Amino acid sequence: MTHLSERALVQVQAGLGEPAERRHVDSCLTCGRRVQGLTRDLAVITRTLEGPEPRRRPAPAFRRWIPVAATATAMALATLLWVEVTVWRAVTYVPPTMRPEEARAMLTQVSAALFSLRGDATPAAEASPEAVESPVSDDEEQQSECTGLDWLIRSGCGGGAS
Amino acid sequence: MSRQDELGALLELHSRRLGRLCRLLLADGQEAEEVVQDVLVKALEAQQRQGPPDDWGPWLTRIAVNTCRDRRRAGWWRRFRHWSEPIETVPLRQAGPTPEDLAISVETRQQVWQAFRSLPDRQREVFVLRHVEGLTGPEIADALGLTTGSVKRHLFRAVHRMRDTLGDKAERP
Repeated sequence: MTHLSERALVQVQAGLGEPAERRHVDSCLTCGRRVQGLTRDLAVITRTLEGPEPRRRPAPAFRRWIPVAATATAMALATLLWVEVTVWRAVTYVPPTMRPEEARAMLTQVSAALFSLRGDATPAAEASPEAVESPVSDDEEQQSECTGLDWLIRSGCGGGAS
Repeated sequence: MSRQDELGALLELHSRRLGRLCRLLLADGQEAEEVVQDVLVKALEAQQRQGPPDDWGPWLTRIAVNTCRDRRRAGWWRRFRHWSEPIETVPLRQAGPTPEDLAISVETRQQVWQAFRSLPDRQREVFVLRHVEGLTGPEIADALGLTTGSVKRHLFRAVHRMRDTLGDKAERP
């Protein structure tokens, strides 16, 4: 025989059960005892609730202020964020953005420095067409002027000194 | 007996029941008294405006439960103020403890009250209306604006949690 679930027993005990469940409780000794146990427990609970509520233990003083402290901290953080986002940025000097031609010139210099074979930052656009077209021959000319230990002290002689 | 006297007697009859209900739902005797006064004023206004309801009991219960719910929602500061203060110990039905009450240990009593206070509002309302007030399922559904199925579900959860507090002392079904 399948006995009733706890949910069904609670409903039968409260008078909310289905007719079939009530019939089962009437005929099943086990479920009848379970309903009696439930009724007994509920009687204890109800009697307790009908009596005076016991005094609560006073909470420690610091516990009373936990919500207040948490709220104050949250408000302080929100204020800080607001100051940072609105006030601080409004009063802080921000340099004007670079004009397009300045940005282009700067980028050209950077490109020249990065890709220059000689290591100088002369923009390719400012260099002479010949220099741009034949950098190797220019180097060869300079190389030819280098004598002795010039490579140590002169730039363009393949040395590290500049 | 005039109609006003009848109404007064009726409200007198219900005010004690409503006071007990509100104390259980609010855990604050003074606030419960205020709610009962509000409910009685609303009853008088309803009487003058549209005549008496068909059945005063469920009508007053519904108004009391709704008013208690409004108080709970609005009274966060009051709850904080009373958080650590002892609540008044007002007996709900009888002044002295019965032998059955004495048989319930202090520890069990505290656990039951603690579990009752920790129930969600809806479960607490359903539990009180069924097992303390003795309302039927349809009456509870009508008072709280729920379906009977919802009442069954809330009641089962409340009973399950309340029985858990009795622990080994309860013979589980």
